[in-house]
Amino acid sequence: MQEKSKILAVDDNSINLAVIEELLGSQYNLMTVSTGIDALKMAQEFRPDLIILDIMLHGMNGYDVCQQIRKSSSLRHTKIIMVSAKAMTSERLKGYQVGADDYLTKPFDGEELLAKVCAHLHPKPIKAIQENE
Amino acid sequence: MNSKTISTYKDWIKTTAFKDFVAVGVIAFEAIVLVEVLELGKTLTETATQKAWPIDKFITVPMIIALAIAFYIQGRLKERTIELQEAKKMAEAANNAKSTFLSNVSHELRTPLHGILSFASFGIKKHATANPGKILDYFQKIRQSGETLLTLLNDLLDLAKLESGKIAYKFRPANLNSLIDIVREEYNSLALEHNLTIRCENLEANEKITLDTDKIRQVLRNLLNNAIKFSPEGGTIDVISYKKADSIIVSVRDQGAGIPENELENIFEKFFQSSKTKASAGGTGLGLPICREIIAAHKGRIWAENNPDIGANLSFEIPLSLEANEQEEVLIGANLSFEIPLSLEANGQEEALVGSAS
Repeated sequence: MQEKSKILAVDDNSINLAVIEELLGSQYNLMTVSTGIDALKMAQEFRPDLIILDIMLHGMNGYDVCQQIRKSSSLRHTKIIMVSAKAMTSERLKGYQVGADDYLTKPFDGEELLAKVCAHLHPKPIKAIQENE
Repeated sequence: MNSKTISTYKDWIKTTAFKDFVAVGVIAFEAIVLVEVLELGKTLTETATQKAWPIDKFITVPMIIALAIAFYIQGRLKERTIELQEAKKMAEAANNAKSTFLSNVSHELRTPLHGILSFASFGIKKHATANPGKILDYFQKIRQSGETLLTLLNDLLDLAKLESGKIAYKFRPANLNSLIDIVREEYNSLALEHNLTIRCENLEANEKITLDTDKIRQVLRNLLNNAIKFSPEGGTIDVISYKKADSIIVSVRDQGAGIPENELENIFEKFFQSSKTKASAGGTGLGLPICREIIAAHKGRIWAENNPDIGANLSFEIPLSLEANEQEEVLIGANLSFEIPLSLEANGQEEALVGSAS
């Protein structure tokens, strides 16, 4: 059986982490932390394939965490989906600027998060798709 | 200005190097152009003084009046421009503050809403298959998020009322130490849950202070609640009250992580959360701004500092009595208004009630 993809979820709100656990817990190897500092530490140890990152974190915010992760040679290619209640376009753009692959605004539809996670974990090169057709 | 003056003036202008510069101004001679004339006048006066030219040949009385008007207009224009620039700056700052506030409110509302919507969706999707324990867990999380939302809305409304100045304070002479005791009683069980000890130290005799008991209780609750949230398990919280000249100071001291020096002021701003706040601490980020409003209404001040050894110290200072004219409270009913001056002399603390139809 294929090994489960590893996902790290970072959110300071326990209810929000519970939502992510409910959605992804059974299908993926999920780890959750609630601060930016813990996120960086856990990212190095756990080596996740994808990180679901909240922006408003105490101490170190999600933007800073994202930037740090992009600087790390071992985590440069980890997919990062920012999930935040910050809904303004400027805030979303800042997310992309610091290196996020995708952005989801709370409240979001669970199905959408699942679809995004799936899309980012199994990207196929266009060539491979064309060859399959 | 008569034509002779103008012609003398024009003649002179023709001989100077400034003729192009001033020609339009002299001919049109309208209010706004006076500023140009002023520039010329200044230069003329300077040049004339330097070169000892006969000033009286071209500067006549109407000319001086015109210059004076021009001076005045230019001065006023400069003043107005500065005033307008400042007003613009202030309006922009207020607008930015409003945008930031709205963005924060939106964020704070969306977070619990996300919890409610998500767990309601899980319930809808899995109601047929999930066991009752799971469904119960969903309902509990929905309620928890709903409560967070309600607290936020209450705090927002409280702060809006306080900031608008529309709230009626009921200032009465009251015993602050007994208020502290009441609030401590309220928080005893929560403190026990976290294995915390709350110590109260009243360094002053039970003096009566002019205050709004409900509002000061709200401040004390907030400070104590924060201290409990930020204390490590098994810690001690000290509530100390003491007199200083004509005021009384209450300090709530915890043994938590303290507050970074550059955040000591910021923590009184709306939605600010200290970077050292535990992630699980929660809170709406409105508690301390509410406290600050209430203490300001008591003509006092509230501040934060770090203890030299461990933890933070949140203190407020309020005067023992407010000025006589500030103790009056106006309650406006349907068609009656009452003025209730409070007598706060040590010998007579009864209230005099004067009612009059308006």
